[in-house]
Amino acid sequence: MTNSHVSTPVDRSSERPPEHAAISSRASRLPRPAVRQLVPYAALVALLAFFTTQSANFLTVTNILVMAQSASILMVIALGATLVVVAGSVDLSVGAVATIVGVLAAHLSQQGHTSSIWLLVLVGALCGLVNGILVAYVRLPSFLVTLGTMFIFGGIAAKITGGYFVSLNYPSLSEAVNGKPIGQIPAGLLWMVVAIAVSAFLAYRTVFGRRVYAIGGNEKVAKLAGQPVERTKVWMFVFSGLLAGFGGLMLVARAGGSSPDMGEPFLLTAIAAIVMGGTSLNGGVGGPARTIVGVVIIEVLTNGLIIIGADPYYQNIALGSVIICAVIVTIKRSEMAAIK
Amino acid sequence: MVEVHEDLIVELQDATQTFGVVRALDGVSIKVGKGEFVGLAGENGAGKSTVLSVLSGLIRPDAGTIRLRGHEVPQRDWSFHKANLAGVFRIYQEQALLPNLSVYENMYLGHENLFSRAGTINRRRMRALARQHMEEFVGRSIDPGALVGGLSWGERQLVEIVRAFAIASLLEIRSPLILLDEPTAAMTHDDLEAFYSLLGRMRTQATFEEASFLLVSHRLDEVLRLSDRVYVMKDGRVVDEVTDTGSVDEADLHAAMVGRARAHNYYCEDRQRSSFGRESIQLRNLSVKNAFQDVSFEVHEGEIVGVGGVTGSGKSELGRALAGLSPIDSGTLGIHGHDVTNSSVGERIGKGIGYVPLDRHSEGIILYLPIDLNMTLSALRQSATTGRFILSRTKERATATQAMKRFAIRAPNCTVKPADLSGGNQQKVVMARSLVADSTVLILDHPTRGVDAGAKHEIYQLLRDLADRGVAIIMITDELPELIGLSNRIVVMRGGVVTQETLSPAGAKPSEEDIVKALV
Repeated sequence: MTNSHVSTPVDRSSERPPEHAAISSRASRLPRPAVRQLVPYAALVALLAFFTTQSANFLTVTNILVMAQSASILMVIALGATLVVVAGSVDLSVGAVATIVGVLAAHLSQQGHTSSIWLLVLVGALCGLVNGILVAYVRLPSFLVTLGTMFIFGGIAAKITGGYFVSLNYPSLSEAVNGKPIGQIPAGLLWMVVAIAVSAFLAYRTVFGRRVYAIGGNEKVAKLAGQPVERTKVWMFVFSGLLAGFGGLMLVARAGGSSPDMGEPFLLTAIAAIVMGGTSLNGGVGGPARTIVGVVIIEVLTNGLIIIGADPYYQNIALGSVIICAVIVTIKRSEMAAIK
Repeated sequence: MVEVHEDLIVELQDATQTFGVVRALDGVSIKVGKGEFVGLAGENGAGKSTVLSVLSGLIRPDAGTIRLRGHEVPQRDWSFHKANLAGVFRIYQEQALLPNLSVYENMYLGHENLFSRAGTINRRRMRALARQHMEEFVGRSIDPGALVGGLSWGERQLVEIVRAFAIASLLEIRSPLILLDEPTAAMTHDDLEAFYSLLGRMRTQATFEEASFLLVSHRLDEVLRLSDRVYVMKDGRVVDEVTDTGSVDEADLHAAMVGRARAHNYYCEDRQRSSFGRESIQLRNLSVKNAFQDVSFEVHEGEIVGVGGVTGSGKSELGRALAGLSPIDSGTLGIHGHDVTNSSVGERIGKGIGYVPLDRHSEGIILYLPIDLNMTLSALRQSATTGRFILSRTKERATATQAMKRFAIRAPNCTVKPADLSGGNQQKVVMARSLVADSTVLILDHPTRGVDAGAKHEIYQLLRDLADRGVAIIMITDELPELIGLSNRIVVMRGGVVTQETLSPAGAKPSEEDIVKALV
């Protein structure tokens, strides 16, 4: 209805453009929201169909397991950052956190302190804690805070190794990440399933997750409803750091050692996966289930292009195009949220 | 009062517009004569705003024609900007001004080309012209060079309306049509008077004596007071036309709108309680710097205390302080005997305080979070979890479904998003959140703002229900009939202090004049 009368925007900071204009003209041209939500899935099905017809090796059990193993690190890191995005913030430091944990792991393994390597995920959580405190209590924009800590964590990592490749000398970590504990199932797939289960449970089934959605939907309302907004923000950054740190351990095991920029590519890919899945950068909508779709799309695309023997340079072009196409759809949705 | 104009400025004929399955306009025909002020009355969803959208070029109707000054408007070529150029201006309830630009830049937004030579804008001329129009209509109180973001809400509304005249004058259009879309919904009492006198000045101004207005408003008194003629709409149709606005009162208009007479007992005075329980909330010499000082009163179980006052009287600030949004500088606040003067918002909710804020969209409701999730937000642990940490959707849905029933919230089910609900239903969702949290003290800041007449009555009934169940209610409002009709006791504030406390028993209500005396 056009006549749903809205009241009283006395808040001077939140000016809205004429809403009727935006909505009525756009709504008529775009598919319904329910249909639009399915677009990421449709894109995935289309990609699967395309690569299946192009190569007999694509849709095979072996290749699916390869893809699962390959996607696992991105999945773990992206799931951690998803809750932050749902709350309307962003964590740009995930790649640097993964790097610092990976570098420390390789470093410690060279010095023989292998027993404490698993505890390095707590370093990731600590990094998240720093982000969270700066965002929630010092009240700085998360974009700037995590941009700053991205450089700081990256710098610390480079300092530790002096910029050299350090090989990992801790077979049990390598086995836990690269091995096949159950039959042909790669360990990465299992870790991925654990990360999915934990983050989905947190997001959809806990009070904490609900608060994250409320903050993303409207922070003032969450506050007025008595929710501990600051504390929730700190915890969600800690969770993001924890998973990024774990991603770092997987990364160093996968690469067999650490280099000072190993986590870098994961930052933008993770954000791309989150947004492609349909989580709005404005916060409040989306979640882990959508990030899974985003990560799978990226993996299918990357893997598929290799399998059909496409020029590697085309990979990034294709990835970028798919991101933009997928985002067109999600952006419309988030614009609605911003305008209405 | 009524003049018959031979030359019409606009004529909408048999306009039909469907949105999905909803028929928003069903063969609507409306005429506005030159120099005429026409009102559009109707409940939410009657199609009033759609009429304005069609006239202002925002939507093209499925069928029907628009004639502007006698010429049919080519539908394909009709847009908001084209409408502007043809002298049709729409003033929004939620203003369309850019806060980061100055008043004069806003006034000529989209028409800079008329000030430019060789690609550079002659700002000095733009500013001088803006100043001239501002002084002509609103005096010197608003500096054309000031940033719009720094103006008050009322001031910005004035800017927006002067802008329509400024552009009309620039384009040399002598008979602009101004579409007013709920221009006063968010205005306070003093803003209103400034606004009405501005409209008066505009109508008598020589250059624009042919200017016409089409007003959509929930305030029926205003529609009757300002309009020469009123169309009454219901369910997408024009059901009545009032040509003699002097001989009709609000109740008549309301009856025509809803198709029935307004309940004689609009404020449910017959259900007003006369005996109350124990003291629920106690304010003792409460002060917040730069807002209010030394406010003392108490509210008992089942009692409704209305707080009135003009803007700047400190009444809304009082509500925010009671909710815990601003720190209390001195005095004490007690709930059921517990001192909560320094408690956080969450702690106060735990003690029984529920707060329904003034600005529903920015503070009251999460538009894209389903109704049930909005409702349980204040009491997640009590209403939506098993144990302390894990949500139970079954329990949450049950809680929400029950609350929806009790509050008569009209939505297909509890997973609908509030963005798709009417203002009245959204407000009920906000109120339901407090009730789900078992609030025993409810503080409402303008509970019926932006809510249509029918839903208002439902909210009044709800408040009576709550009082019957022993909830203590503090209702902050600008609307005098509501303040008087609903309250057991009225506290009037002026300049941050309480100037009057009046009993308002059923059957012996104070008159509006009694209250106004203490207001100003």
